[in-house]
Amino acid sequence: MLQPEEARPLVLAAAGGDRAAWDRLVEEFSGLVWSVIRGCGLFGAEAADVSQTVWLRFVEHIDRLREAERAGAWLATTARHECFRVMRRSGRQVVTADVPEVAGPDETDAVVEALAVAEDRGAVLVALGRIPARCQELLRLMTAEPPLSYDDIAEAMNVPRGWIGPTRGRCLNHLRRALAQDAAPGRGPDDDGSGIRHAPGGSGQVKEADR
Amino acid sequence: MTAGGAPREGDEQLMGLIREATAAQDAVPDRVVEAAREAWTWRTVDAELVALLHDSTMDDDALAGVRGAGTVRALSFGAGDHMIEVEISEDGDRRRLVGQVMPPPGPGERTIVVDRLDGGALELELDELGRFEADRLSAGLVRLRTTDVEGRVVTEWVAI
Repeated sequence: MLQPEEARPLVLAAAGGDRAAWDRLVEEFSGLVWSVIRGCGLFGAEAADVSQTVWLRFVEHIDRLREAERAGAWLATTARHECFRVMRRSGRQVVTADVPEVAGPDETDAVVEALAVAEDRGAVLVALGRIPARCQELLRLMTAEPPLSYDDIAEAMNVPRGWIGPTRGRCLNHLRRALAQDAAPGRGPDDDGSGIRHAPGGSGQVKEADR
Repeated sequence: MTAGGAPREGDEQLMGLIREATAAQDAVPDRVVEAAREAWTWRTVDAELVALLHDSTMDDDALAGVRGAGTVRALSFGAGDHMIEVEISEDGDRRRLVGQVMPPPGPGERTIVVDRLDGGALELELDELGRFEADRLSAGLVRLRTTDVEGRVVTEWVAI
């Protein structure tokens, strides 16, 4: 995996016309770009088109990046921006509301433990798809490879650095609740024992005031 | 119950599960990686890049859902004294482009090329004011190339 200090020489080499350096950058960062685009809610052909737009932009801008060592941050920021452009063009709402606080049910630790033991990755993805949109975005960014720094994430999501930690905590609690519900299918979405009522639809659109 | 966003035990384990799950089951498709590699072939070193400065799609009224049928999307590309403005109207998968290059190119250089990512380039004539139009373009990623009085310019790629 690429170390942050390795990005700079690759970017400079590619800017100088080195195709192999470009291929290496694609190899290292295409997964990161994909994570951002999937986190913003696109999939399939639309996601592929946004990825392509981002990489075309990167070719155009590679010889003028201000901070060559922060290529990952540049790619993540551009991917998010282009993702939102596509969503707006097709009339879809872009959620910028903050993430509501919920309590994480205590019994989830056992659910998480069981999933880890069973290596049930599908269940994690399903639950991830049911939490507020901003959480999906943040958690995807925070688990992307190669890792983004808090500064990179703050820049990409256009939030203060101090927003990230507490929001991550809230988002993980949303995920715990979704996992607990999926693990107990007999219970309705408004009766998971936590005493907190879910928004209609369970996830996705959050209608709080803007941050 | 554990309240709010305070860190709690198991957070890192859960983050690890997300990392594994997305890496294993939502990895970037090979064809997307291949397409990213191929973006290199569009590298241009002999033209000035004019960036997309404004896209009416990103305006607040577009955000509020005012955008309806027959809406014209306005794009402005610029760098230094170069400016290219384009208006795009949609008809299903077809696009109509009307635009202007400023400052207008000299008499010997009155063309603008629409590069299409999926292949093919369309050469359009510019009038004496630098205006151009193209009808029935298919939707997709495009960029514009021209030569104005200052030299060669190429726009950023944009999906139309």
